[in-house]
Amino acid sequence: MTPQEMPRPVVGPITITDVIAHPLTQTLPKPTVTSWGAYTDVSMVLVEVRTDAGITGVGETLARFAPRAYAEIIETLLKPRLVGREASDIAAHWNVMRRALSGRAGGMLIEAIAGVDIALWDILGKAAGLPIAALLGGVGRREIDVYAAAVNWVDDGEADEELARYIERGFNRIKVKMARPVPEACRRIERIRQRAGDGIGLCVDANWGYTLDEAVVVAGALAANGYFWFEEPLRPEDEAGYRELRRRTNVPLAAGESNYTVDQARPLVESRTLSVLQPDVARAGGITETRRMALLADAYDVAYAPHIGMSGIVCETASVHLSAAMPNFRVMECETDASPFKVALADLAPGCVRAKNGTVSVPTGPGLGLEIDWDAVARLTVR
Amino acid sequence: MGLPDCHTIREIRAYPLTQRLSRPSQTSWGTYDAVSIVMVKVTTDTGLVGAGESLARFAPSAYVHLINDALAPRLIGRDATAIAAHWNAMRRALSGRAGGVLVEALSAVDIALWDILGKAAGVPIYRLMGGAGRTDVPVYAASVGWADDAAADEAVDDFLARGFTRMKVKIGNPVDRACRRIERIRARAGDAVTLSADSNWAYSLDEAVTVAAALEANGYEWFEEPLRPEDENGYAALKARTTVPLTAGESNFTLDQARTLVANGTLSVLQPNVTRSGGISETRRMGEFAGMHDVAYAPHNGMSGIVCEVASLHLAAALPNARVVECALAPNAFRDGLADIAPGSARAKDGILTCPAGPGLGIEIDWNRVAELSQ
Repeated sequence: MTPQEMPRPVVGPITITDVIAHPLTQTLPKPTVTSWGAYTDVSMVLVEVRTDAGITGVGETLARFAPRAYAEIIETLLKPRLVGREASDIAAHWNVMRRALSGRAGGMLIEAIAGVDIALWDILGKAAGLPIAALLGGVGRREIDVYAAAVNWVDDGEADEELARYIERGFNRIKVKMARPVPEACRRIERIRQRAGDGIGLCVDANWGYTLDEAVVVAGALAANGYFWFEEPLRPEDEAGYRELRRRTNVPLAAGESNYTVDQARPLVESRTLSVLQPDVARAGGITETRRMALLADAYDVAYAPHIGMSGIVCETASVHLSAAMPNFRVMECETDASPFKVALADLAPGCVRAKNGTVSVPTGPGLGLEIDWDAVARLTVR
Repeated sequence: MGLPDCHTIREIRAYPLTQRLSRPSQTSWGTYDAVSIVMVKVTTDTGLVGAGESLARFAPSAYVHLINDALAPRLIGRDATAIAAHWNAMRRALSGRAGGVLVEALSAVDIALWDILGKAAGVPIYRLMGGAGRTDVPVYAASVGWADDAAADEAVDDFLARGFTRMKVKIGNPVDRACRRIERIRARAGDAVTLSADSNWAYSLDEAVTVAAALEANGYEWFEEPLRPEDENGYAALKARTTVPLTAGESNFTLDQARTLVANGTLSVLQPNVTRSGGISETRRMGEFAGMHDVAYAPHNGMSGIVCEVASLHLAAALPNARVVECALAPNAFRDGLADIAPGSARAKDGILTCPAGPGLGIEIDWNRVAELSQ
């Protein structure tokens, strides 16, 4: 071939010119109460990565509180390691960013990296003219199954109403939040099953609410009422507790939103303690590390089910792309809170608005396939 | 006479301190030319002042934001002496597995609360812990750097001249050079000196097996952080293939992270840094957990400041399974002149350091100097 006939590389050199962290905060219309704690204000960081190719990528960092601390980590520690570098060398950047602080990998650093990493994948997709789902060379789903989150740990009347609303909106899988006391949890489990009927898939999330002994009892109620998983029954560090619970119940166990890295996910995946791994892409090191987690899970026949929770539209959309690509994807969380982080930040409506019959379509534009509304970002930025 | 009922926390102030190093510090992990810490000052309405320190090598302002925005609001107005309750509340300031910047940040607050508790009781922290009754603690000199041979020889001679009988040698890649260094330093120091090696995650498992053999052949006391800290299977495999004792722990934030390699006997010595691993509360739990498994405790200090060093001395004086404390000898503005006590590097005599005997940490911080360094 002559040089003229050589195929032109789709992705040429793209140099990172700036990394900007936007700390965003919102006051919730109604405080969210889980076993883990009560939230009245929540935050996130939107990460903007600019390049000399005129392409800007966006990412999201899970930063429920103290978002200025995260912004400082991104702009002081990560930005100097990226500016002037080739944007598409994502794995190299990941390793360099991880070494910005010593100690075991985890915590705020990895959440900060997640925001940058997602933005780099957005850039790569835009440069290649492909949605991230396609870039990942995956199984090519055009739409993905979602479940509604969540019937909250509120009184029976309110819980019944939330359940009816989800069913009316066409969701056929629904998550129910669970907490103490145990007898009340067991009654709730039975009540929701009766009201939902057998045609609706139900699962439970306890947000670390129980001791092992309590979890065994709750798991019994879940198995008796045909729930499809029991999520975060115990605190995430108690791996021996998870193994013991696995031994004593048949209800599938799910966890993963508390993990930052594949190292943390590994023990409960390789021992088949978990049936479902649920990383949050805005916490678990972005698309790069979350994909590695899903691959590890697949190697052990464990399913992948993205966690979204109170995160924003970038987290959700990055998760949709991973869901479309990963072979062992089972179902994605569709948080129905309609927070400004989900409904106001981009030209793409969140899953809770777009969902039809419990499925959401995968964006087809390059990269994440969304455009950020920078006026909305400015309105939500922490002063 | 018991403790007074209440010392209400009135104020928590966090100071980001940065110093440029006169000589960049080079380890297998990376090169530093400037490092930071965060100092925390907790004041009660009874007029007690506690001092704490966070390991915050870089981006100290991020730690300060976190302390101000997420930790202080949980503690202001509470009784300073309910330390375990505060620890749990601070750990829950962020979700996700415990670890990282959050635990380093809360370490400073925890140490300051112990300082206050000791002052409220009028006893030093090591006594407050109902400990082993030790006041003198053996230390080792840290470290013979991974520089050229001549500089390494010079460091050995200097440490010997200053009376240290134990010293740590930094090693890295390539492996053949590390093996030569291990032998050279043993020959230079003689057989009476206790030597250990620290490789700061430098090696793959195969490389570590080779280096471990050289350490065995030259009678080194331990091999520290041969592999990256997350590779627990690697540590267990290395343990099965060498007789040199393995040590690690400075990379752990919590007891949960320390547990596996202690409980299965892979580590012979656990080395938490009190300004990273949750302060005195969590580090003490780690030290005691190690003791339950016949594993020794040896505090890590590295580039940390005077509060870290002194808090480590209290823990080493109190915990029965304490073996030896790291005594870092490089000039360090976070140790020299930040308090009314000289750093261990200046106080050590014949490889021994005395733990301060005053109430709390037993030192007074020069808060003006702290303010100067936090510009």
